[in-house]
Amino acid sequence: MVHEADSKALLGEAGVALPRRDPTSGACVVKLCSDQHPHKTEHGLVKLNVPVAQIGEVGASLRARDSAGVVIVEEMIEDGVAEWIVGCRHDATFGPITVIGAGGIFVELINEAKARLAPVNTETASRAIRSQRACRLLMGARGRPEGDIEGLIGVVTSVSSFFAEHADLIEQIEVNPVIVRPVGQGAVAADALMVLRSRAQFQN
Amino acid sequence: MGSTELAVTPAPHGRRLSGREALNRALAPSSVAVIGASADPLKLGHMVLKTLANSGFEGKIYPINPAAAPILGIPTCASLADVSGHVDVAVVIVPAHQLFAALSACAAKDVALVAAITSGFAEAGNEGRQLQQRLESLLRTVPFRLLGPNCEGYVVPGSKTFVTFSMMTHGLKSGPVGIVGQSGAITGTLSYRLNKMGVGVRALISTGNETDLTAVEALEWFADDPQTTTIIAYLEQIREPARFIAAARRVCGLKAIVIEKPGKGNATMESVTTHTGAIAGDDRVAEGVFEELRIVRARDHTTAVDAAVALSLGKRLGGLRVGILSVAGGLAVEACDLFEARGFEVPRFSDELQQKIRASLPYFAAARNPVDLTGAALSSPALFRQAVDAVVQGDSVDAVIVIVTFSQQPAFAEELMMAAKATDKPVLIVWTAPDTISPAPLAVFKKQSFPIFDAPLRALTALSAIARYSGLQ
Repeated sequence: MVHEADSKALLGEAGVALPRRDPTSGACVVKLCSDQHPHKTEHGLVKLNVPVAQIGEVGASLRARDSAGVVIVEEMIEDGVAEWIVGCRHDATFGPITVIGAGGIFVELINEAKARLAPVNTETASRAIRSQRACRLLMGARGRPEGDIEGLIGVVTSVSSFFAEHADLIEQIEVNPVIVRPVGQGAVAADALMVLRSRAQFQN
Repeated sequence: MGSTELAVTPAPHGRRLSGREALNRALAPSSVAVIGASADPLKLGHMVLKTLANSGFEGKIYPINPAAAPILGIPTCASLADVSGHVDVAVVIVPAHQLFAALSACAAKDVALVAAITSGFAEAGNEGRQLQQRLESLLRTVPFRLLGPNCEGYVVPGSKTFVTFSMMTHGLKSGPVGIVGQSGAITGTLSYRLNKMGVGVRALISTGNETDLTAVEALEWFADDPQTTTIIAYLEQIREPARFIAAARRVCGLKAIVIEKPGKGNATMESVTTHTGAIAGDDRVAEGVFEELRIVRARDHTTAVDAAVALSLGKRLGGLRVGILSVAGGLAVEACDLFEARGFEVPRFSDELQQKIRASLPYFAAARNPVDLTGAALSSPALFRQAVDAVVQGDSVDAVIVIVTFSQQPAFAEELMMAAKATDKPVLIVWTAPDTISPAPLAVFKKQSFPIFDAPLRALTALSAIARYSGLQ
């Protein structure tokens, strides 16, 4: 398993849009990323709405829980229009595939996720997204703003390309949620996880 | 197992034929040997010989049977080695442990393809699996390609090559649809039903256990064959996915592929610790890949036939708007409900268009869409034509469904076919009466290989297939 901080470092280099790090104003999210605790939220290792002034204190208290962990501080995104999931894995028949689904952590409930062969190009990503009924939530539903579908497409193509390129090393990638912001604000990978293939050598 | 394996003489060219080379020779062969031919009418070895002999096959037929007595009046040799002429294809129906000797004889005779109807291999428990392994080793040393074992053979109506025991293929007519399947029963009934709807078959290939030739190689052959426009495949397993994907991509949007693939449910074998694992089970992935490659997925063989028949019309959909023209109001409503539930739109026609349609109809006809042409239309074939022409012009709809109950006038069939041919938009005909009630018009449709559907649901399957192939659904 590759925890969030390291996963984001790799994905960021691959061109995947990420939340801004170490903001100097506004509300923040402070997280402890650690191999010991892959499910951060369940262990109380994600603190939301932290004012900039308290980052140091909150960070320190998290680090005390696990000295091997890495603390990351990100802008807190409050204008998300919808959450989506982008996941990559090896299918027994078809090889490297990518799934794209509306709903973030509720993706199984909404149950509309589409699988496509990795790498996914822009056209294919666009169609896979727009063919889901839940995509209507990105098109200005009930007076809410329209979501940056192009940004979501960008996350899909960059994550799936990265996976396809390193498919021999990576077992699985999960970017969940991708927060889709209003048109013009892009879409960002709010959380990310990778699982390496068993005998892979991981180089920083 | 007790049988002695003959030493295999390496072929003069010393290499294995490619799937394409083997199929090229096998699908238009000049000679077929039937190894395991039998005089006993109850045996498969008899049925295979009889089917081939009665098909009108113009090449040489060589029954092989140790007794060497003529069967069905055809001179018979005791072994393949005794045949003096060239042999392109051998079909083998001997018990499993005798297969190896037969294959060795085929290697020595420069056979291109061996269709092994013989069963009792990997599908038959432990002993069978051992035999299969032995078979795999032998195959590495021979030039020919093997279809099967445990397959139903293959049929090519155009060259009258019937190498099969399947009775479902009797009288099969030639046409543009290629059929390949891992189940002979399913490929057989697919071919029969296609023919019944007036659509012919390019070739039917039953791949059985796929120890050597796979359905994917057959699919590749169809993809590159100029006489094939539509492919139906029954696949339980896709054994060569990279080749499958490459072939499907090559023909995407050019030739339609319909696949019946049983689902195994959504559970993945690995423990599910991520959402990705939970939402990307085998069947969901197959669905997604098929959608991406514009492959029509059929859940059963009857819908596979309706899909292939529709696709053989060669039309595409530019959108999902449907016009419904019907002689009966009830059927129009049924069709409307079905199409709307499946994501099609049945848009209200403009006042102008409604007026145009209503001009030739009784005052009580509804023209909003669906259009109720009323029973009065049954006396006027030209009326149908005018109505379809009016609806397909301009940009009101992307497809038309015409629903007829019964009529005995051949002119109806002619007018409707002309209307369908006059436009690029799909025009699908639903005709509910059977041939016993409407013999003349239905015969006209069939003669021109113009498929019609006997219920709105089947027209829906048809149009959905065209939508998938067009990249819309």
